Amino acid sequence: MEHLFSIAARDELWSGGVLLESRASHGEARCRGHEIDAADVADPVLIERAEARMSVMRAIARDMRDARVRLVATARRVNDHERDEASMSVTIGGVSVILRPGDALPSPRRRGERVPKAGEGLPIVWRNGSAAVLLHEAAGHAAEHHHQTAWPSWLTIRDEPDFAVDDAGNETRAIDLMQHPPACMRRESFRDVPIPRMSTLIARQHDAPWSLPDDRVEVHLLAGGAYEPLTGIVTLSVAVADRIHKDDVTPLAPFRLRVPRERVAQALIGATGEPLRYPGVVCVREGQEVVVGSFAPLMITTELL
Amino acid sequence: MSEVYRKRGRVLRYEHGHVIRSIESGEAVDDGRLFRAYPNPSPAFGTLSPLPRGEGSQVVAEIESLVSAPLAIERLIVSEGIAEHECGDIRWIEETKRVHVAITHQALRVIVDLADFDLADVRRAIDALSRVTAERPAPLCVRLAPNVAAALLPSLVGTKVVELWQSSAEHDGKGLPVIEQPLTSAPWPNWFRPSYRTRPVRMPLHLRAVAPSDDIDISAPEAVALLAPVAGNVMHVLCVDGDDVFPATIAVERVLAVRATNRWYPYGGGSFGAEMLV
Repeated sequence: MEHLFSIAARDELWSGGVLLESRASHGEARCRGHEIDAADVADPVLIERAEARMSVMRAIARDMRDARVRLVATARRVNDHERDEASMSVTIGGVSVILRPGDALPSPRRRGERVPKAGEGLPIVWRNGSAAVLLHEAAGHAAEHHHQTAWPSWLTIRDEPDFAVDDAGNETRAIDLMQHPPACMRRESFRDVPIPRMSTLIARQHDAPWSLPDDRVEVHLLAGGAYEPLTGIVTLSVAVADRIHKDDVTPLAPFRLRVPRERVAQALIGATGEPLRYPGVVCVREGQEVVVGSFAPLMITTELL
Repeated sequence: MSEVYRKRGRVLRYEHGHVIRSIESGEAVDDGRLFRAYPNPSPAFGTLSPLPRGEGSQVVAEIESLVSAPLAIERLIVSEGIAEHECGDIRWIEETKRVHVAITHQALRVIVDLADFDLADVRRAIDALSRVTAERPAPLCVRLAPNVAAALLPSLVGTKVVELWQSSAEHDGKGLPVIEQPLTSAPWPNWFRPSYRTRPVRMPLHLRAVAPSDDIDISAPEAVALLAPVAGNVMHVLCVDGDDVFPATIAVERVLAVRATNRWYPYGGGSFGAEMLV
């Protein structure tokens, strides 16, 4: 199958409201079967569209005096289908979130006071859509390797692309990640091979059980995650979390969870409400960095520590 | 004053069954405060580079022929390229070859990175992986094969584990000569610039380990391949001891002997392989 992929991108790094680095990139890839001819050919229309996306974000970055901000805007065309992407990665105090223009900045947290110990046995409440990151690793990346798990019957986990045509010229479709690997072909640049990637992971609950225990850990933001396909181990770096005991809230120091994929599925014991947008998953696979939309309801697992 | 760097080149890359031929030229301007990089279609230097020769397809085919079930190729990327560089009034040409291969067996993954198309390290890794048994504690002494030692050297910069030298070369990322010298402490004298889109950073280049002894105890188990990227001075490696092959985790705290080779590996700013007794 043949297709022509063109892209223009602008990537900027700001710190303390000052622009430090600015990179422009553009090019096209002529793809015939498994052969790709890539060249840095300029497409003025795409360049203008990418630049237009930057102006709004630059104004925000300029005002963030205590943050490190990375702005990325792309405009791409596959055959006749065009789409744009824009993201702002904001890092304050070592914690990163991805914002869209107009999103509120999560309030910076004070340094954690203690680290939960293995075997404490506390359930974990995944706030702020953060369960989407857990499921991105345990369901999404596992599905890429055809590793399937028995998930709770009240849960659905789907990849629902919010664009009609993927980076290889195929029509996109929603995928049940509990049954199938992602189908949407994505590429970071014109010099990359398109590979099946998640685009927007949406976890939904359907009449799930729900009760909030008095003693729990609440996870708000994560610093990263990984799935090891050889062992099925999910690793999450929790950046912002609290230990809750009735009305007492104690901030926790960052900690790491390392748990088998099947254990994640067994540990899911409840959820409530509509999917919440988690502010940011930048997913790196085969050296290609793409933003994956991530939505999950408020969820609770048994202890995973 | 702004520093202007230009680069153009062609790369032929084999990745996951695809062949990618890419042509790019670009410019980077750094005034010390702001770094800017952008494609530049008409760099004012040189004539058009010849296309790489295209040996990569044979390398891919050979590696694929070496791997059979229950082993599997998880990742295989082979590339060859040529680039013309200009920084100020210094111009130079660089040819590159790279192989990155990850091969799995059970819950293990060997990783081999090369800057040439000599596949001896890949063959050894595949042979060892096919005969692997259970993990064992780290042996008292281990011989690191040159490809394994090369991966470790960048992590040992600034430590007292082994004496490290920067080897000489014609050009660094700013076109300056790379001077042979012992590496003691930052700031490093030379610049690393893997792409025109990357702001150059000071980094030790072309590392070489030096030790008073080159007396390698050949009866010690030999670590022939990495099972994970090096983390500080800790390596998860595939060890061969006679007919036995086993994974082990080694924390390298002392280098007892070094026998240098002239083979260069693409770790960090580059490092030369050396047989090392640790």
